[in-house]
Amino acid sequence: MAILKVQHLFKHYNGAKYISARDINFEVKEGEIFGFLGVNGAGKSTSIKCITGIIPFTSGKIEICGFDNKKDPYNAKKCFGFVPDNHAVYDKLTGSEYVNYIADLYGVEENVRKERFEMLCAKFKIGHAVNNQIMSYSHGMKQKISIIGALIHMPKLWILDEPMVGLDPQSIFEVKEYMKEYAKKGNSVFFSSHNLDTVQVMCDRAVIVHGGIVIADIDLHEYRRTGKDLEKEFMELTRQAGELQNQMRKEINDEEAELAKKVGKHRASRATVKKIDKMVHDLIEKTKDAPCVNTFAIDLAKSKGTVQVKAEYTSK
Amino acid sequence: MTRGAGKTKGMSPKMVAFRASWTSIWTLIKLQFKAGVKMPRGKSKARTIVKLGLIAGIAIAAIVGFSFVYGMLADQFIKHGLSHAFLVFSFVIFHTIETCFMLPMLIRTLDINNDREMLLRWPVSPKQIFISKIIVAYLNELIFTACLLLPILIAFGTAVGMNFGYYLFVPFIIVLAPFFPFFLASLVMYPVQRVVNFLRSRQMLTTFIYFGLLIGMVIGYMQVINGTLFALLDNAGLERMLLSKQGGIRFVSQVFGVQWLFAKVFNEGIVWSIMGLIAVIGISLVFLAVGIVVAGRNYYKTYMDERTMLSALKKKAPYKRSKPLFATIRKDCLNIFRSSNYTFQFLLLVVLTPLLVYFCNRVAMVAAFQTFQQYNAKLAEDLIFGASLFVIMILMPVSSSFAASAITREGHNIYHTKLIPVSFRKQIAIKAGIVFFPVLVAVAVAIAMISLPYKPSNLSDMIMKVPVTDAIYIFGLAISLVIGYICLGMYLDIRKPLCNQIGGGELVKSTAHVNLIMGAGLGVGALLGIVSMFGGLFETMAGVMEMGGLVKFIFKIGTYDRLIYLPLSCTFALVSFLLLFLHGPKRYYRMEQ
Repeated sequence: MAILKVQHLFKHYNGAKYISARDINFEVKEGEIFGFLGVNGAGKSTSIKCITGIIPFTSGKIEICGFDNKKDPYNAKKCFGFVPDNHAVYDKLTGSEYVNYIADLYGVEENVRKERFEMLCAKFKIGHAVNNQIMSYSHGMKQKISIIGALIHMPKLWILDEPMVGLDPQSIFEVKEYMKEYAKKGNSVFFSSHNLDTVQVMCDRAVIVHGGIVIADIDLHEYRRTGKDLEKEFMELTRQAGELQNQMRKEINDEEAELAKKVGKHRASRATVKKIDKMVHDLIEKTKDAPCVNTFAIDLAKSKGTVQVKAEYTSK
Repeated sequence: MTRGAGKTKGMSPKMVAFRASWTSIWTLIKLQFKAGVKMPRGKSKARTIVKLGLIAGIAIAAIVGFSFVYGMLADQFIKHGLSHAFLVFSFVIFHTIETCFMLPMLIRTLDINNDREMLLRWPVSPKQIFISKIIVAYLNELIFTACLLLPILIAFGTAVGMNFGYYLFVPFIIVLAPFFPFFLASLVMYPVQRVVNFLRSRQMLTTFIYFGLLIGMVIGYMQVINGTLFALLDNAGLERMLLSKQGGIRFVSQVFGVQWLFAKVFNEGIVWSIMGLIAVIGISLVFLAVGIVVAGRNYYKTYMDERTMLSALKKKAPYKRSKPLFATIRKDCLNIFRSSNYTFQFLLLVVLTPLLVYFCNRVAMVAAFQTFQQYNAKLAEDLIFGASLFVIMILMPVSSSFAASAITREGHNIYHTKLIPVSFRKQIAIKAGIVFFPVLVAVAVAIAMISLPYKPSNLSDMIMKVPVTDAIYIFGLAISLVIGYICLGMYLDIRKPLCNQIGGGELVKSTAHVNLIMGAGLGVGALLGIVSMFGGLFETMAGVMEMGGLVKFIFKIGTYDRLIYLPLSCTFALVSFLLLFLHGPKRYYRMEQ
């Protein structure tokens, strides 16, 4: 069963020149550790913000534990815990006050929260500081209290955005171990990171996002079995995708590119659509032998409800 | 060769160092102005110029309009022998507004917490930072004083018929008005800051000390004003004094605390005036020099205290389950009350409102008693009604404007509010309620105070009291406006949160929304207050006054103010409320910060 389902996620920030997420599609299954990869500006953070409800999205559909996060945000939010990348926690509260506050929001029973809190504090070795005000914490300690806050209600889906930043090696190890333990219990872990080695070792599956689309959906068990290097593949795939996207951008004449930018105001000409179709076809031809790439999708000139040229292919 | 190196050619090393030091100070001043003043920008240069011109035009029109109305009112009062009472009101209002605005501004500007970025990023010394900050703070205060005082002084001078000498001294009054309190504040700032750092994590104690000091200061300040008034009014011949050129100036100077200078100027001639001026500037410079030495010696110690004393608060939270609503209220309250900065901003006027209402009423009563030389119950009621309404109307927008940064203050934690399974509407209601209830209590206490009969000890048989219907009217008007300000301020903040954070994560500057709500509220408050106060007063004195034109119209409105203002304020409250609670949650969801 899919704990998280993202379908055709499209996000264009108000007034932004570029589209942040063009067509993001993936699923996170029960009991899975899922890696979410991409270069800076690929659309990773935007996708995570849309999934968690921090920002609204323009179109598409996101389901968490079967709840649509637009139509039923209350239940969708109850299903996940989120660890952001910016260590943002309420500085004025003490660690225990913060975790108790989160536990109250999710209705965690007193005895249950006590047991979990003590267990998590012991695991992440922060017990000595939980009664201190968070403003006195180091980056790593803030990250730890944020992790504990995200787990106090034991959500079905644990979303982590660059969770290892600022953590000491011991804590990184603990977090990794706990991620595995957590997934074994039937929960899912959504793990966004730039650390490809960790992703290769930890995750069951990973997707690579580039230019606002998912360019690869990778079975990491297969990688580990065959001894393939995720880092090398990542570099190659993102390079190819980047080159192709650049090439296509160049080939579309300036006028049409301008039209595509003017979201919702103009329609692309038939000639442009044909051009894009041909380019997508060439792209598929070029990348069809890429190992372990299950899905390849590209949507170059998509813009709000007008130019929608999209192709999804499955490799051999 | 570096830029400007040619200019230092031939200078001694000491001169070069001095020049470099002042260059740094100048850079810091520019930086603070750039950070503090957001220039309006249009899409093109022409639009920017139009925008700037428009703002300048509105400001000039407001000042000219204010001067005009003030001059007309002053004319009427002087014509009918109420000049002193009118001037007393004017200065009390000026001092009230100045205290409310300048005290937090001074604290904010000189606060060491704001220096972190400057100190960490640039090769500047504490002394340079201190000097630059003190210049910026003084200029801010000067601009504020000039905008407010210039129209009053000019209008008053015109109405009384002062000669050229008076106008020559007006700039001096404005330049000197903030001098003593300002440099004194800068002198004690760092020692006080060290005490504050010590108390920083002892929240309750800090809050008590802050408010104890503040209330003490306000009571002392109002007593001085009150005492000055008694002294002035008891010295027979006030009318003569006010209407004579020397007397008028002496009166003005009394209220500004630099009376001795002006007394010397007008009594002792030009030599004394120059000596007096030199003395004022000299004493101020001594304060400044001592301030710089104190800053240089204490700066790093204070700065390090600030850093190392953060971890002092320790508190074990019980594993006690609360409903999400109460948990969110508790979290929001802790976020405010565990910050001395926020607590101060939040509760400053809530605590001061009843006090200021009381003191302003006393001042009004003294002026009225001395004017008519006998107690008139109806006039006393009108005065208390008008003065209370005026003070409450002026103070409420300042307290309510805290709501206009409710979302912005979340800063990086804004993501929390989007993630938690608590509806946006509920979160908005919690934030609005936290601002509303203390203001409600403050207004209720102030209203209760003026509804109960009270005899001030040194005002013989006077009774300070307004009828219940008047009290209910003020309460209804104030509360409906407060609801309007809070809802509108929060809605604006939701539409465009600024999340302007510095250093430790606290919002240290007021946002544009806060200023907008405060400015609009003060304008509306001043208008309502003046019309209600003088409308009631003139109605009582009907037949005595000769009124015409705009003045008559304004006072006629004053007669029917209840029928006009209450429905208007209730409509404003309702519209703002609906805007916030119907449209606000959708905006909150769409927020992309």
